[in-house]
Amino acid sequence: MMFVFEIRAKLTEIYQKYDFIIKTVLKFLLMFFAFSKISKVVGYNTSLSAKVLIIALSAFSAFLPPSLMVFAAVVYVFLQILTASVLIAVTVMMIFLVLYLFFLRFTPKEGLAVIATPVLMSFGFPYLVPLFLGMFGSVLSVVPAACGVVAFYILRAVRNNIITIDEIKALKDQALQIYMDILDDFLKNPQMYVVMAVFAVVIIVIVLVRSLQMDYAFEISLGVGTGVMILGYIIGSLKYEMDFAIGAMLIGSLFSMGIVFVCLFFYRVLNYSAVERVQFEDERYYYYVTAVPKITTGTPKKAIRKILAERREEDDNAEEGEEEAIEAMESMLAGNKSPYKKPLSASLAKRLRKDVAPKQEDYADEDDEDDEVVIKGPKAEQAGLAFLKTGFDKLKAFLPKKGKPTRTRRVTDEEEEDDEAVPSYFAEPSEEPDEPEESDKRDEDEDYE
Amino acid sequence: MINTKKARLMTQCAIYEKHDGTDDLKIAKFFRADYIRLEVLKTIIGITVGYLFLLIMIIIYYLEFLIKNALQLNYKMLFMRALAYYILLIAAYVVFAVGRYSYLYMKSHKRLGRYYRMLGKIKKIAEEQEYEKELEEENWEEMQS
Repeated sequence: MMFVFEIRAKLTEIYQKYDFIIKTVLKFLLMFFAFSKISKVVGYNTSLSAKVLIIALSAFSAFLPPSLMVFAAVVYVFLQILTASVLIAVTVMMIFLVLYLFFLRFTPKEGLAVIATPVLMSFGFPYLVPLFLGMFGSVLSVVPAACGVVAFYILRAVRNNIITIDEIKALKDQALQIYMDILDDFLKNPQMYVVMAVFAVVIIVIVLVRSLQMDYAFEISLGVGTGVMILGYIIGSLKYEMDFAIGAMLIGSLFSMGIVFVCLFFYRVLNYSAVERVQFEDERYYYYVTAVPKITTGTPKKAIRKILAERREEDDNAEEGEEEAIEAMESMLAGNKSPYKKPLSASLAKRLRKDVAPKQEDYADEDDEDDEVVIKGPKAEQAGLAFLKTGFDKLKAFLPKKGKPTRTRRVTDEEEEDDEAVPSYFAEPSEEPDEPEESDKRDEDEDYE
Repeated sequence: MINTKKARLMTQCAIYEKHDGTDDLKIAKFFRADYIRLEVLKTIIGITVGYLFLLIMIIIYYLEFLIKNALQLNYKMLFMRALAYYILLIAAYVVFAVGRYSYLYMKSHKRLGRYYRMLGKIKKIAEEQEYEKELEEENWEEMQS
């Protein structure tokens, strides 16, 4: 396991160092595959489908924000189809615009999902999309995933109906018929609705399960999501004709789950580890700051378990109290200004008093060692009786002499101890350290936020 | 001498400005109600345009049928139906937009509050530095005299 952690640490370090480059390269690869696939599906313009141009466009798009990357891809599709048919190109553009105006403008930051979905679907590997978006997105991620599915099926409908430019030129008079065929092929395709529904359900299920407060919520949600996806595809294929083999779907789903699991392994580190480079100035200096987030790699804690022959409940309580006491003392030593914001529990107070008291008693014992009197044998009984008698007399003196006899309650040892004078700095909230300054107080508030 | 506390605060502010800050500062120019109204207006315009595109596509799809039955069609009924769908769509999106942009405004307001508090601290530190500088200058002048 340590080996895996080491690899993770190394990869994190590399990611921190070359954050910008890695992101740009990944974006470039995504756009390269997107443009390549588009040119393969609707590549009616040979000059636009040239590899050099695709590489140049991908390189340019890699530096754009996600929403503009989607826009670049849509414009590329439009220009490719425009060579074949103006009407179809305008229609496809209008469909994309409707998708944007109705849905995508509410999720501008998830534009990459809109591109990644059709790309992965064209590779016959769409199972990764809902699992990934469910794990790392929100419920709103359903929107880009569904739009990606729509983009994939509209392009497929265009390809199915316009095979070559020569063909479309020969059927110039039948442009309206081709338009209707494309829309029929696109809208009356049950596969599209099944895939969209499965994606939506999987994303929602994963988001809901991972938000539950339980151990391994992320891992469980991933498993549940994969199960729901497999089930959804099987039900969909039973009801409608779907173009996939169940075996391939099963393997693909499980493989996707593995990929997302690996991503999850890195996510908690990588998500916060992006290096920030900022520039600013004040009246004296120009600052060029590189802020590197601290990574707290969890070194495995060695837990020592004590196995005892017999264990009493009191001991357990004492140990718990001891831990609490240590925590409180540590927080006080660390300069926390209000370590006693929470009221002290009885066990904690008892433990703290015990920490202080035995030392004093030890010293007292050392000093008064000679004065110690040990009574043994029958004299002990007499001494005990004499002690009880004096105690009884004292109690009698406090009792009212007339009227009804008052009830006396037996005072247990614990209560006696609780009634002892508690050290003032523990017990009294008024004895807390001085009120911090306003600014410091705000600091604390921010920290708690 | 660089004041590390100030540099740290300024870095945090700069990182915030780089990411959420740009949007938040734009939002902060508006009162809550004005911001929501503006976004709802944008949504209505967007949905209207999108709906028009949809209508155009539907009309082209049924163009042959429409031309054939141009004289028999009940245009008033068709128009009323299209209008009803439009109003329903707009109503749904307005409700969604009000909820969404209220939430976004609240979030950005919280973040901006924290940002302004940091700015306040930076200002305080800068004032302290200025005061120290003045004191140094006074001491220097006294020593000179």
